[in-house]
Amino acid sequence: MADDPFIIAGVALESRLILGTGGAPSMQVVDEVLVASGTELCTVAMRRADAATSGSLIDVIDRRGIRVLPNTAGCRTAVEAVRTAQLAREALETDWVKLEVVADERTLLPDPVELLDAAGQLVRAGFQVLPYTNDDPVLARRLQQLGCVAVMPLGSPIGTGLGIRNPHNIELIVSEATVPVILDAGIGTASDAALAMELGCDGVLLASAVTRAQQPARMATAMALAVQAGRHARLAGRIPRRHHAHASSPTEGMPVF
Amino acid sequence: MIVTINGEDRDIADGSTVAALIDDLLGSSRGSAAVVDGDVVPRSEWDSLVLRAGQEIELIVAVQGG
Amino acid sequence: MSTTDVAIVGAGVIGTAVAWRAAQRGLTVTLFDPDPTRGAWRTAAGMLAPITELHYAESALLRLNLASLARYPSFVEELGLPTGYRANGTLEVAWDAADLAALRDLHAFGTSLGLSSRLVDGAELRAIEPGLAPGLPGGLVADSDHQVDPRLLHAALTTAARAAGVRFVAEEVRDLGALAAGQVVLAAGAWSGVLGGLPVRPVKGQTLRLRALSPLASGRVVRASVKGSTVYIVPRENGDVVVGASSEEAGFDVTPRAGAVYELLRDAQTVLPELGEAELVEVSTGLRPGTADNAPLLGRGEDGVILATGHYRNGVLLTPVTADAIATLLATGETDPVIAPFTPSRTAVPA
Repeated sequence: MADDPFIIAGVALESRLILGTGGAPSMQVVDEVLVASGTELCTVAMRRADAATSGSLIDVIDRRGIRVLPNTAGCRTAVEAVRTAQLAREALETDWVKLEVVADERTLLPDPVELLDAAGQLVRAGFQVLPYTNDDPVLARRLQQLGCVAVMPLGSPIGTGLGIRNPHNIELIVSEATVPVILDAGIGTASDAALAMELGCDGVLLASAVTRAQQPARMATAMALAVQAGRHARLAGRIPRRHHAHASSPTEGMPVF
Repeated sequence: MIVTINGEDRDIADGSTVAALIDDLLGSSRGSAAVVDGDVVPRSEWDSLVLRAGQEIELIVAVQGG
Repeated sequence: MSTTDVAIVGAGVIGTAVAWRAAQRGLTVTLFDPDPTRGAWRTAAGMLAPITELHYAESALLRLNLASLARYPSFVEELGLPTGYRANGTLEVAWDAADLAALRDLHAFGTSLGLSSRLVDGAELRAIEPGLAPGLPGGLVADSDHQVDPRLLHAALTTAARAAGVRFVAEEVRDLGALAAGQVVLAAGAWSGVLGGLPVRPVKGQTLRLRALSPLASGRVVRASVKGSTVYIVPRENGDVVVGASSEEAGFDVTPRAGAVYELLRDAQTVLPELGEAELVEVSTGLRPGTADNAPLLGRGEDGVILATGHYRNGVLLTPVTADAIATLLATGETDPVIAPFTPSRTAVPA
């Protein structure tokens, strides 16, 4: 939607779908879903490697002209996350970072104490911080106060595909947000993404729902359409929910026999 | 000279810079970063930072991730 | 003047099998490798499992896998040496309802492709393999997914190749163009990318070798999805058990990682509790040759070198079909239709 840009840290994007590359069965599939999703921003992780060929993910992304958002996935403490963000800045020449500090392997839920600590340090160090956070309006507010350029509440835990478990909290976060709200994690299928946009989120970040689908490229197309549909519906303004019917055909002038 | 790269002892040319090491092992510098003795090396110092024997180097690249 | 008809770079299971088959066709063959034990075959568990290893969007590869599996019985018989080939079938078990749902979807996909396997409930699973944990919601029986012991297979291929006249040279090849040979075959596994300038990357895998107190009663391979993670347990005839495998993008690093060992043992013990009492004999780490679409590069490359590489997770399974088709290409110049979809130029996406 050219007349409705999605602006993060002063950068305008046309697509409101941010794609995680994790979980794709092959580099070929990464390439296919990047194209099918129409995304302009995709996430990558940073790992140890000494191989000449391991840099090829970046080649695939660069060939498609897509901006890279490095994440701090796997970090459990603020110290680790800050270090990973510094590495990513040097590796990818971007000061954008998806800040992810998780508490434990079982839930992969954000650890709010470490998250706030890391966010503060990174903002002070000049990063554009997009934190992956719990669906907690208070925490979202605190992250904005620190200077994060977006907040990214979860719909449900990473990889669960359980959708948006607390739509009310997402609405609360949206209602007082001063930066873009991006629904991150928990999307299972297209209707979840559409719902996120209908609730007022500015964008959706998802990975597994696409990369682990039976036909990843087709699901990427579905997500692109769902995000657009949800955004249109949000802007168009939905009708109120009513307890009783409200006829859509005229009730007067019925033919008389 | 011997340095440790990602936990393994490796023989590299004396006087190698971080830039040379990354170019040699990773081919492309795009998506790559280096930590030398615990410090992240800024890209602007890759050409000038000459490695010394015995240093511990971590090489990091971008991989698939959500 | 070439000193050998065919030079093959890499004496893993693929390179050695190609050498054997090519020599059988009357070609003089020289096989280069300073240390064949670096190959992924040494770490591989040796599952011959096109059905339970089925992945969505890999149906072309499935056909090649099935073609190779069908050749296995005669392939090992012709070798005439121990290979650990065991045709006991495979059980694939789910840990929870979500794992079972994923298994059902995969079963439906496999059935739509004509594969034969059947869904069973937890009671039937335990009737087949009493060592399985109680409470499993169900799984899949694939009677045609088997196993071979890649270490025995490699030894048998080496013996057969020597007997057929293959010359083994324990030297590192650094420049394919410098080889004095009529034709050159690149079968260097994870190193093929560096050697041949190809889209092949190393994908680290770890497996464990355990010695169980009592062997699995069914003798079947057990694969499991445990909360979305995959683990497999491959019982050898002598009571040893191979547990695998991690999958890590770590370049050429082959140091064992403690976390991978933990995850493998955690998941294996979850489905087969008695494994907790087994002796931990070995942790091995190897490098799979990964490609952009997870399928091998088979056929003539741009520079004339014949490629038999990029087999990723399926090198052991694909050994018979690769050896046959590449030997045909070497001997006759003709491309067997079975490998035609795997021409090296099929994709521009880097690995």
